[in-house]
Amino acid sequence: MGSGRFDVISRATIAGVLAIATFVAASPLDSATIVDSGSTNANGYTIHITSDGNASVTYQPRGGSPIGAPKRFTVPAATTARFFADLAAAHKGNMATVACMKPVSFGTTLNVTWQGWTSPDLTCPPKDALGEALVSDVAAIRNAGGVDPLRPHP
Amino acid sequence: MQCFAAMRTDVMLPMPMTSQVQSAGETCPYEGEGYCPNDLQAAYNIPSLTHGTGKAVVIVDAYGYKHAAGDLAVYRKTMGLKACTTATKCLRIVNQEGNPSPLPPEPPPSDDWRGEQSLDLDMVSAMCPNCKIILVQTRDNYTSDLYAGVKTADALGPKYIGVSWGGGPEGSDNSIFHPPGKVIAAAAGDNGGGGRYGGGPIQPCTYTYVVCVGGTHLVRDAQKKRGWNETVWNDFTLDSCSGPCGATGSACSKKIAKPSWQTDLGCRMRSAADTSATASLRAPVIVYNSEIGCNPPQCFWLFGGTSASAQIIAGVYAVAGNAFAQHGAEYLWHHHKGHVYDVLLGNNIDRNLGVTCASTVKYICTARFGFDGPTGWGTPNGIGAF
Repeated sequence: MGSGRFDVISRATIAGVLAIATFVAASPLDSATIVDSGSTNANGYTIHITSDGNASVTYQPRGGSPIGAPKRFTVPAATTARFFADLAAAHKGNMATVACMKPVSFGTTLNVTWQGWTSPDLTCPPKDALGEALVSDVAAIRNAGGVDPLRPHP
Repeated sequence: MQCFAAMRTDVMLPMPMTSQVQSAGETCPYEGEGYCPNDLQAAYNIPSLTHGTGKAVVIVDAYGYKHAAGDLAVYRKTMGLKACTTATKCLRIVNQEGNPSPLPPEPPPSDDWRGEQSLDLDMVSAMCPNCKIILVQTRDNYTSDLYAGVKTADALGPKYIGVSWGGGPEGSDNSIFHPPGKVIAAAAGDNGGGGRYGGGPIQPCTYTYVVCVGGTHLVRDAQKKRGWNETVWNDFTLDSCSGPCGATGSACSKKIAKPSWQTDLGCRMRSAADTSATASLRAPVIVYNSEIGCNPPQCFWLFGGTSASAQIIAGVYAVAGNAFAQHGAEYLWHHHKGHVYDVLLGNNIDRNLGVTCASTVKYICTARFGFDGPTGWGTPNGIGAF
């Protein structure tokens, strides 16, 4: 009796997972690009991320060509889902940042491009929760990939 | 990634042996890799070891930097400079209201104000090791908060203020940046003369009563009587940005009227910069910072930019100790003769990278005999112009 119930639940679970997997595989992947311009004292970076959590990062000096091959990494599913949801909300809500000053030799610009929309510069303080969420997501994605032009291990 | 890691290897320097450290800042433990205080003092003929006592420089920056005092202590000890600690009240760190607590939180990871603060502290120390230092940390990088920090810097009393931040577009003049009897030295920017990276006029550098500081590429040159040579800082052109890079800013302001003391004829508004100092990444200064990805004590870095040159000049002003006579850069414009090294070569444009000149006045972006935009009247030769 117990074993039979387990089989039923198990079959249902497997079927559910398969259905979700099939749906995900069939859905076109969403994607976004995070670009840090770099500064006088640090290279910039470009992160490409898709909605399945696959991401890659390349580093580039200001205006220069990418340095080395892209490094691939995986972003946790929850972070990825939150990032794309926050992107949609930021776009819909006309997210804005406040004009700010940059440290002259360390200041960068940080923008996210998604479905033709480019966010404001995320290194300036966000005006609202939409911006704060996006800044937090980008930080989490950087952490997932160990992305940090000023903190490399030589 | 591989190339990137290799590139940064030469940026982070090994900790020197204690036996290499000399007293009085007379040697550089990293000779040939980056500039130490003794190099900078020698290049600019600054009597740093005999002047500056009783003077103080205020540095204004955004966000917290927990290891500011500890990192400064390592830098000064390594460079043979006398200690400057919070315990002896040589170093004070305050928030934008001028209070020692609460200090602001560390910056977001994508916003590196800690690197900036370490560079600023070390450059002021390098040029004026006898000076006291006050670091004002504002709660964030809102323009209004940083300007409040400058107001606090004025209220705290010291006569020399270093500002290594800025931005565009230019606004109208601001009275916060005209504290009578005081000197504010600010960075001209690292984005060249204009175009792709947004070079050209930035505030607060172009404000009437700010001493705007450009950047040079300083190298040893045994053929020169001085022992050094300088050209306009332009890493864009030097090696097409094969690594972190920039070029000094300069400007013919679009908003600020020409100060009465500026005698250059081509630019009818405020010309910038007024003076300059070393800034190139290809001839960098050495800085200690334990918070930006290293294992202490292996945390020396090679940095550059007009953030460095602005604080070098703030330190030179403090060594000169002549704040009451300055009136912005007026004193410098009247007393530069024989007291600066004129920088004659170079420019801050690079057409291949889309870096242009925001002004049609040629000398605003190209060095020449006498005054020019990228280097002002030139770099310090002693303290007579300051």
